[in-house]
Amino acid sequence: MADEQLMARYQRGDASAFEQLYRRHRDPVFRYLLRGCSDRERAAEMFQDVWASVVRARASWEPRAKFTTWLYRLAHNRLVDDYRLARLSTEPLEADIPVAAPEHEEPESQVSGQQRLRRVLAAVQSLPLEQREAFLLKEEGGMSLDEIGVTTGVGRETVKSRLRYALAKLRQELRDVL
Amino acid sequence: MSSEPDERELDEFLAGRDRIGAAYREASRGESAPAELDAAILLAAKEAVRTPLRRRPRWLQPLVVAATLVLSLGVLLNLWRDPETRQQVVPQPSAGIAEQNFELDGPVADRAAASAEPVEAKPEPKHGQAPSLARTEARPARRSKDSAAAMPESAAPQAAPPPVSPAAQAMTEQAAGAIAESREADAKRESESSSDALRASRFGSKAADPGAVDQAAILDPDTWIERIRKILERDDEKSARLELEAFRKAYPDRVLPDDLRKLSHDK
Repeated sequence: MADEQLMARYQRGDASAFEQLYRRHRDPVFRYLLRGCSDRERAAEMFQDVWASVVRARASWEPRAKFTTWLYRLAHNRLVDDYRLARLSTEPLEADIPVAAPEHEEPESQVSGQQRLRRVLAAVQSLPLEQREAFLLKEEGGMSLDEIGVTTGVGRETVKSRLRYALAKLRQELRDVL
Repeated sequence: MSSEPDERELDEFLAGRDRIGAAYREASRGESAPAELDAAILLAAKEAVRTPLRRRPRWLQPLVVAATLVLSLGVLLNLWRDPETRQQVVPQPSAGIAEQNFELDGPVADRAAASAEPVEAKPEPKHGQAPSLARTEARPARRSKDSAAAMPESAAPQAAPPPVSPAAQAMTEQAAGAIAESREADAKRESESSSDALRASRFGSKAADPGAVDQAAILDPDTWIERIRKILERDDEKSARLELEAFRKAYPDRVLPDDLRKLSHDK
């Protein structure tokens, strides 16, 4: 059943419909929040807030847009609030993410699978927030350019630009492991 | 930097065919939300549907507010347009003229003389529009005197005032209102029955002084009788008669005291 139908059923009082929605989007939303703030505890807190908003909004929700666009809009707003509260810079957290220098310096060394995965996650985490969000909304939310634009409040071309820069940066950062 | 490779890379990424996206998906596979959060969230969702959902349309609240305002305004306008109701709220200075005469000592008198033009029981031709004109006279005085206290009890006769001036009408009404408020509790029941009688007598009698009559209409009988007596003491028989006529219409069952009975018979 489509997300919108499940939400409509939940509006009518079907709690099991909510559970289906929740199970479907639980992990991607959590990862989106986790990559956004790099702190598991804060991510968990935001995660609860987002779903609480979904529950509260059931009375007024109308299927004007895709459920995922609406859901990630809630998550995006919560993430932005978290940044404002924490007064975090939206600049890349390069200083906090130790890029594995030895591997860079020794291109022939074998990079373990786990290390490679960690490098990928670290590279994504090091993207500037806007580029990171665009990347994650595509990867975790499965969104199109337009949907990403609606969620983040920018135009399609801005989304494309952010994604291009994100991919270019990741390509550069992970050139030795990919 | 060529835009074509970037565009191709972007297209591949959006299609899910690029290496970076694939690497990310592999890296994040298995990473999930803490299980301990599930119970709380699902419980909250169940609790929320226990109470029936009352979906109020968004437009409902503004509509309710607008409707309330419209109804309130309509009621107020209707009340204001109704002469009877208006009289109750802004009672005529029944003894308007008489009152004025009563009160008009010192500054009050001066003000009254200056502003109105109280006609005391003058058979003004303006009776047609009378009530307000007559009111006009008493009101300024009343207002200045401050209402209830001012009323009929005291009263030095005033020299014959000039004819009612329409210009004083608004002032008169306000003054009457101030006085009326102070008496409203007592007088209201009586005034409802008496105001009709008063208007009738006003237009029926030659020397009708509607304003004066109206104001008196809201007085209790004893106070009214006293007022009539005071008018008589000033030898203003005409005004006294008017007052008495109004009194009798307002309180037809009231037995007149001897002195006033005589006045009534002499008519």
